[in-house]
Amino acid sequence: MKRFPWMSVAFVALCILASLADATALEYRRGEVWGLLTGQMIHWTPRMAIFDLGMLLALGAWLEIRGDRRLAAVSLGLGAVLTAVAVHLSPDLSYYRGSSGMASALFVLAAFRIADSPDPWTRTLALAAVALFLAKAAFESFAGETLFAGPLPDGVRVVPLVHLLGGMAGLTDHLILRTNGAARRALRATASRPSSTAPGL
Amino acid sequence: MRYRKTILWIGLPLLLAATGCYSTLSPSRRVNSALDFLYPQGFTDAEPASQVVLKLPVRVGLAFAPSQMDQADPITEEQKQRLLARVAEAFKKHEAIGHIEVVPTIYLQPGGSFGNLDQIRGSLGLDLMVLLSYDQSQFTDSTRASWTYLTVIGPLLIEGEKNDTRTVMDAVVYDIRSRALLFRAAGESTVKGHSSPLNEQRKRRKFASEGFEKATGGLIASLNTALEQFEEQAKKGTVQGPGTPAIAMYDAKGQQITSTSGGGGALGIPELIIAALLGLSLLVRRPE
Repeated sequence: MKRFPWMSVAFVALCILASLADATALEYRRGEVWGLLTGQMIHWTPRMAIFDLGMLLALGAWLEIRGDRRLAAVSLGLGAVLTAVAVHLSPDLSYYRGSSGMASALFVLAAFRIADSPDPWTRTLALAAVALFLAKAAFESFAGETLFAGPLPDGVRVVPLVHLLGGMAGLTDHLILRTNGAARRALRATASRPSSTAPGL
Repeated sequence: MRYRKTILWIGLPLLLAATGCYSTLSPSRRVNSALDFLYPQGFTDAEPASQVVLKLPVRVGLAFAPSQMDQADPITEEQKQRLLARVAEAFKKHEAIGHIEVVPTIYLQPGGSFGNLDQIRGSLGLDLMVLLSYDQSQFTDSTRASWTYLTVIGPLLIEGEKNDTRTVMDAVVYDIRSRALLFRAAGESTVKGHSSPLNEQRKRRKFASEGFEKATGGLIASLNTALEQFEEQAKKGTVQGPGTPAIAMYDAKGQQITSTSGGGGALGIPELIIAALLGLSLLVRRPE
């Protein structure tokens, strides 16, 4: 039985409600720490909201339906925290809005989950997607310019570092899962192996 | 032969007399400098400004620098106020300027320096002061038509004098509190015209006035450009680039205004294409 992706649906619905309310009160302003989180729920333009929330909903729902709800939640949280760090470490940013950091985390996590497939074509395409995504974000972060950026209001620019760190959050989540999985497998193997020494000796 | 000598003896003194009566005016120059007003001693040993703080929108005062004691102005106070009102009107549309006050010249004393500006700041509540200076030169030369002055009706009907009026207007914008020069701009004009010996003074006054009107138009355009450049530069943290005083601008909410104030976490078309690649990877998966 497929699960209903209530977490993704609820979160995106919350973001839409926040956008309909007074967005200015929720946006991040330098010095307002709580804005680092609430600012990620609102957007500068409807187009930006559609891209960010659309990606969040699609990837989050896919991960939830296949049974990775906990993983998706960790990625969302880690993505939000790393986005907050990226924004806080950008001294030229006085304001911030956007949930692309969290969407990036889900994107990389989903790509790695697909890459776990034994099919070589699926694995190759998924890893190529991750590589392209991270390469674009890394290039933009270090070159200081954005490629094919959509229209934003005057004085607002895309922060590629957020995408890069969001992607890193997804990667970290995946690596933790693999490490835990490997540890669990090793533990199971140890437990099933017959003991050579008698207990108490 | 005898008549010819008589004509020479009578005509030559008349010609000299006529030349004396209608000789062209010497070039004139009228200068009014804001620096003479701000630094009457010619130098200053005061520490240069190091930090400028502006809270937008600012209140700006606008005035002509006062003339030197011994120099008459080429334009009247009424004309000055009209020119200042034109400049003020052009700047009202700038969001950074909350209020612009035309300050009568009488408020500024010759050589009053920053002490005088502090008084005005206190009484009118101004943040910035725009001081206008001018340098106007007038040249009058005789043309070939000036031979007609030798006739009786020539000086009345023929405008044989060529006038050139060159005007330069300069505006300096100071932060009164820190005494820092924020930016400056200039406008210039050349007015050409003709006059006769009888209306020469009146025409020169008219050309002087026209020169100021045209130069003011140029000054407004130049000030607009300088103000925009200043706003961009100030967002980067200095008044006029490295080596000049630091500046911090704050909006009405108290937030500092910087060159890139807003950031957005925005995914775009490239990310959508890459996500499509991800979707494709699911489609090509062979059944396990």
